[in-house]
Amino acid sequence: MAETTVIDDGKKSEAFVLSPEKLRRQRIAKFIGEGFLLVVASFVAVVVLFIFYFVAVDAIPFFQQRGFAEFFTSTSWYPADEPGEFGALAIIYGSGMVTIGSALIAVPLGISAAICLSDVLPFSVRQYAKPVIEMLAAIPSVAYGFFALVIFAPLLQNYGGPILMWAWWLIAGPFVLLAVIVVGDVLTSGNDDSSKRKTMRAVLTGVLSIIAVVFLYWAGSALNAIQILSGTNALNVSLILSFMALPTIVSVSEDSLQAVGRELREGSYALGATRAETLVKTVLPAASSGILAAVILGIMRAIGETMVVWMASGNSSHIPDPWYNYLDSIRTLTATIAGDMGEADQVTGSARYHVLFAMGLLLLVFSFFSNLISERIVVRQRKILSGE
Amino acid sequence: MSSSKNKSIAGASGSSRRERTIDIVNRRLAKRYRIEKRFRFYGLCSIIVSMVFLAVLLTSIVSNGYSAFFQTYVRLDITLDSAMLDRENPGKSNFQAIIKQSINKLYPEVEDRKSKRELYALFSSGAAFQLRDLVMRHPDLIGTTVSLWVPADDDVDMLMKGYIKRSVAENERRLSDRQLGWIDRLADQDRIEKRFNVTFFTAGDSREPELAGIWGAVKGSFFTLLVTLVLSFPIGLAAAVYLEEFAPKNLATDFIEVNINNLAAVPSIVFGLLGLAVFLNFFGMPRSTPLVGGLVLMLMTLPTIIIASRAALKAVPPSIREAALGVGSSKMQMVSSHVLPLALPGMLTGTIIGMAQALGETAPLLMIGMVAFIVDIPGGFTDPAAVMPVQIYLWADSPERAFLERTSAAILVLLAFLVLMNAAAVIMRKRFEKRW
Repeated sequence: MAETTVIDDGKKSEAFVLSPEKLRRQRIAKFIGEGFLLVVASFVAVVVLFIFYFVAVDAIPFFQQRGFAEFFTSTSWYPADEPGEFGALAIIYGSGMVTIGSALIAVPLGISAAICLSDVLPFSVRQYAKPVIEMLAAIPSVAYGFFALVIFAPLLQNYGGPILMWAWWLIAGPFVLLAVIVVGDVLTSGNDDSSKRKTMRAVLTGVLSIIAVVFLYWAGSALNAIQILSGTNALNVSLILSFMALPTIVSVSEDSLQAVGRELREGSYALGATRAETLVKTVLPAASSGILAAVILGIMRAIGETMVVWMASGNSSHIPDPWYNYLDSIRTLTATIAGDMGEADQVTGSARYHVLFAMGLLLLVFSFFSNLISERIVVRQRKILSGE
Repeated sequence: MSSSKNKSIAGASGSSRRERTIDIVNRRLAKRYRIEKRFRFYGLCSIIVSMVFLAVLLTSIVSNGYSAFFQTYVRLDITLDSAMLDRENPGKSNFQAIIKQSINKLYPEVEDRKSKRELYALFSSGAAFQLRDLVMRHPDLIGTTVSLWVPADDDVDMLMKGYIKRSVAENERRLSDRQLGWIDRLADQDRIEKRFNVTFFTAGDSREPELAGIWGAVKGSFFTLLVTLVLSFPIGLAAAVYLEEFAPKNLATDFIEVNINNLAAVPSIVFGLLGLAVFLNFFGMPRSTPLVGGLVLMLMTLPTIIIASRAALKAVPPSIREAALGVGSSKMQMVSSHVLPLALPGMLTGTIIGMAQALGETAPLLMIGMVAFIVDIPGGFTDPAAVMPVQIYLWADSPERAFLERTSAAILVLLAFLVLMNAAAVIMRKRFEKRW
């Protein structure tokens, strides 16, 4: 064949085999390029250590000066006094309070929305529903803060009682109804005779629902009588934060629901389960760890949020009385950092300046560990699912 | 539940009338379907709740904000008396006095000092600056009479927009009955009119709502984002390429990966603390500048960009890489001329989303002093500047009713930018995304 002669030709083969010179150059290019990329990539990792270092360096002087006890156990926060008092317990409590409050709203809402998006809605609806929820994440926090401060707070202040009553009816109503039905079912299921069971159930359900309505009405009118003194309170902030955390919870849980493969779902259908049963008994347990991770991420978003709390939480550093009173104004770690730094910065080096870094360190450590936990959980789920 | 089912099955088989399993299943079927329906209803409810919240949020902001795009102007006939204006050096003249003179001409009956002060309060202090600009540009106007539309005070504006009610008792109103009468006279003479609010888009911040604009903040945001983009895109891209294409599987790589996720989880305010401690106090960079703001936001957007870029690189199929290596290219050549171009649209999408996040971020910028009241429009990276969200925050704190509508309008502008950016990202993803 003609080609053999071409390959025999020394000059032609040079085009395919690199000369040692060229090979060396390429190796050097590879070395330099890869080294450069490695340096850049580790820069990102170093930044985290950097953040820890610089925040800690400015936080440690505070603990050296004042010790740990005051910061974590005292509730008197008077940083501007001379000498100042730096008890952050009430502030830490406030952070915890809005976080729990927002989680109470966002977690059930987010998980049911995620289930609905991933398994219940048809694709044509889902296509439009998902971007809408994601849009909640795109709205800047200062816009939420403005809404909470200028629109929602006056509303709460003026119509607090009726709003609470309506919310109570809307949220508790369906749950109580469900409870009545379930309790009626459970209490009568022991009876074998079907006609007797039906009448028993009807009577029982009727009695229970009367009790339920009375209870709902009683609690509703109690709520209606409540006067909210200030619209900038923990409830306001919790509600707004819950909607800010919602997109995180929805999208991460939806991902983990999607990660549960078709096999499990179809297996469950094949056994005769309805869609609801498949979801509750098969898909949710399989995706539970991913959903847990979603909840952790959502909670972190709520803890780390600054603008909404700073604008609409009232910023008074005391533990509400009684301790679960969400209608009282509170103060959080992030809001304290944002609010006090302006004045404290003028006296760089004082305890007043360093205490804010101590709070930053607290936030940082908390977010760090929550992130590690959620990551562990996600990795474990992936391993379990792929192992099956 | 399961125990009761067992019991009923056992009871059925024990009874004389033999019951088949299918009957038991059928009996419960209706109830199971009911549960199914209820279940769907709850899921739908939660989605509807979030949609309703979004709708309420947006409508309340729009309904509060749209009126700020219009502003009440008053027509004044101003005699540019050459006695009061220095032809050689017109900028130094007392324009405030000229404006007052022409206001007096409209209301000759107002004489005592107290009522005059009330009268002047109807007109914005910006009128004098407007006149000064006009005379500086056209010195030949001196000696003539010009008819000029000057901005009215924010209280007049609020009255014209219906936010100040005439029915409220006089002492609870920001405008007295006498002032209302003067305003009505202006209206009768067709001297008062709502016009498109150009000032809002061209001016910097101001203590007077009718003179305040967002241009300074828009420019500040632009410079800040430019710094962020220039730094974070190359770094994010390089880190993603390394992690996806070159990194060996070892502890160091794991460490980098974990830290990128940790960086994404750091609360934004802590980035502000870092910026304060490092860039301002340690390196001594100037406060409240786009440079420092951009650096802080760069750290915040890096994880977003890296994570999106890695996803884009992962989406390039191995066959492309193998083909490139197969024809003899080095790994570097393979990445730079085959993998990167294919992954670039995805990376850019991630970058745009990261930039949109940075554009909406407020808290860390408060820490580095970008919360200062800045009137001048920034001209560069080291000029003190405000950014859009911070401007919104500052206005939201102001007590004047007129600032409330301007805050909402500024949020609308910011949202428009964000929607544009996100839409660009979505379109880009749709357009260039390849399905392999």
